Amino acid sequence: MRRKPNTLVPLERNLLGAAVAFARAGVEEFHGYAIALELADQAEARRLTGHGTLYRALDRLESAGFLSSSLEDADQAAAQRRPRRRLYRLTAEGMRAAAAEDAAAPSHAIGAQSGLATS
Amino acid sequence: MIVPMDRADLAVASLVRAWLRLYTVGVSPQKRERRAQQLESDLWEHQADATARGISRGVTSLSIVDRMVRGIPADIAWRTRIGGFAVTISIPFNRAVGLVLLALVIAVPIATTMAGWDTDRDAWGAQLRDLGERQRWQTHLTNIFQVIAGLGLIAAGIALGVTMAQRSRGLAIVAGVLLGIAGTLTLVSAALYAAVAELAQEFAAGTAEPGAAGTARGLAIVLQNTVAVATLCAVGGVFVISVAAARQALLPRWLRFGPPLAITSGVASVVLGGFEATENAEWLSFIVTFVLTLGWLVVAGGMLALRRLDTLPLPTPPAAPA
Repeated sequence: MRRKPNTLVPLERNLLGAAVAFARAGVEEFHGYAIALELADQAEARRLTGHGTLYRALDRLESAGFLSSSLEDADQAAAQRRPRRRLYRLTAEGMRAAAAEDAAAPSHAIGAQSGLATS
Repeated sequence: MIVPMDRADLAVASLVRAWLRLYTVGVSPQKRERRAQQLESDLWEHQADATARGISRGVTSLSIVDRMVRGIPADIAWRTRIGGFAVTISIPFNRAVGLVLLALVIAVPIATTMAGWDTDRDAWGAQLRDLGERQRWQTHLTNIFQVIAGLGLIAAGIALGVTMAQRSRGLAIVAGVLLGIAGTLTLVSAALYAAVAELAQEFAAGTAEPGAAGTARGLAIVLQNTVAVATLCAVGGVFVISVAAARQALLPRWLRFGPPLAITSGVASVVLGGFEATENAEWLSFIVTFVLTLGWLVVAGGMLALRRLDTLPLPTPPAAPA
């Protein structure tokens, strides 16, 4: 099924919500696995989002301008002896989109259901 | 932090990487690299997190495989969206065609050996007993070769379709489809052969149910006709390949006459089979067809596979009228 332009599917709404929750908790950057864990926590689910589903949705949010991403510094990853992380960051546009989604559906307010939301 | 990894962890990581390599075939290096980095990081974080939480390796491995499998539809959707499945294969045209022809030298006789039974009603009992008295490993081995021949013909069809398409699209499709049909029918024949061999074993051991010989004869007749059609398709595929090779000037002029002669001889064999008085002529034309086909496959396949023709230019389109 082809999606309508300028609309978010539930997974993208949830990802944006998790990104907002991270931002509110003072976590400015996060990697893919961290947001998969956060989504599972929000939904109280035992299973993490599938690889393809997660990264396709993150790529779409980035293409829409709601997230930005960059590869972390190679030295930092090498110092911890692990692969480099792609770090995602919520953009101002992403924050506005999340607020607009909240206004449209306040009962499912983005970020409200996260364990990371501190205020 | 160092994440300890055992064989299961490594196997699961290899599985995820293998799937990544498969669905990113033909994707631009930048996009493939980006997805690979995302997954490598995710795999490491997942295993490190599980280790920190004290989750068992087995549960972690299952969780990773579960995530990979559940992500497959999204991977395929992502792959389709970013530009179809165009694959560039750098095998030189002549080498690929030559190797396919040489492979057919093995596949065609194996495929046709199944058609040699005497299914005449009076002779069938002795034929079935003879088949049933063979060692079980002999029939299994024959069956394995038949399956290999069938799969080989299908693979040859796909290889030709991909490698010839750049030069002769129409002929590539026809040759590929003919070889694909020949391969599929060979696999069907292999299944029929296994069934007849099983009935023959029971018949020879005296444990067959009443009517088993008749059933086996019916299956053998279907098998012979299936093999005949498979052989015709394989020879037709070879003929189309020879036409394509001739158009591209890949083979000497004298070699171009092999497949048409083989087909003529094969048709003659079928026609002569309708007349009882011409049994020797029928047999002779069948042998000529067989020798011509195999000889042509060996010579043409060898020349194409071994000669250096990699620098052959692609055919130039006809000049536009002034």
